Amino acid sequence: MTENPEKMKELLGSFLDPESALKAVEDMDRGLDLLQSHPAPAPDPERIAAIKRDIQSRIGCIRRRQPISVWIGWSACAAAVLLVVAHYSPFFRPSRIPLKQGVEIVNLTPWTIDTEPLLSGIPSNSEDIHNDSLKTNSDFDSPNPIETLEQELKMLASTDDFWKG
Amino acid sequence: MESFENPDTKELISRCQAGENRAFDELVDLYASRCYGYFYRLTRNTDVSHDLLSELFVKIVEKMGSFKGGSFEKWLFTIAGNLFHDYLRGRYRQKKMLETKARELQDEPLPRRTNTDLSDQLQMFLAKLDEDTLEVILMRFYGDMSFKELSEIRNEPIGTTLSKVHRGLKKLRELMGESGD
Repeated sequence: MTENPEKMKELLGSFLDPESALKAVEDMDRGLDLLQSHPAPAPDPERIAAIKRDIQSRIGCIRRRQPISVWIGWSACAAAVLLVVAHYSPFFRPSRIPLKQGVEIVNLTPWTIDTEPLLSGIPSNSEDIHNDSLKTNSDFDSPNPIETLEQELKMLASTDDFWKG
Repeated sequence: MESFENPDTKELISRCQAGENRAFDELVDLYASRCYGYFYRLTRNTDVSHDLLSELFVKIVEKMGSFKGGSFEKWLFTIAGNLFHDYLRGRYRQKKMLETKARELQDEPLPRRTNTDLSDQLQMFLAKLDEDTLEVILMRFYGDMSFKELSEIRNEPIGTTLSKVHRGLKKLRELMGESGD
């Protein structure tokens, strides 16, 4: 709302001397009177009617949109409530016991296999392997190694074409 | 100057905010002439003014819920001013585009404003004011706003607003052959 003449004088008086302020108020009043005496053309009534129709259709759109937004709002609230209930409910709370049981299962499972027969066989097997090894290498323990070497050389001589390809 | 103050405005705004169809029709009846005059004096173009007026009321409908009281005129003319600035920016871009095209078509003269009612003498003289001064004068006249409100909208010191309005109106009077002395 525009200032009344007294308020205008007071306002302009804070920038100008009283005489200049009074003149400035008159200048402005007469300038605005010019605008008043030369009114702008009125808007086209058909365009105004079109604007009103447009407004009505937009209000309709806003009303249609509103229930959807309300529904979305309620859905969000319901989801939040469900999450809170789920968080505090014992039905949905994850138990700590399975972790402990899991550890026990992991520890116990390998030892439930009966390994006794397998383990008992290991010494006898290793003994056999040891004996075989001794038997195979018995030549190296020959009482006359030179004789053994000669025999080997003879063998090589009889088959002297092995290197010819 | 005719006072635009309407004692029923507050109630009308409440009815609009409640979504009453008839209330918006009344709002258009109450403000269309003033807003159209504001746009017409700024743009000097009837078609553009009608388009801006239409855009303004669409914005009002969409933003009515965000109006939290205070001066409705200030709120309305702030939106109107923003729309005019958007229009100016669009016109500037269009002008730039046309200038580029004009250079290609060997300096075709650019029509600055069309559809101007040259019989309106005041319009011719208003066109001689710079756009910033013209805008603040028209906001003062059509928006019925105080200098405090104007300076707030324009984000400038009240003295600057006062000076612009004073110098602009004085120049307008001189242009129209009124000395006042």
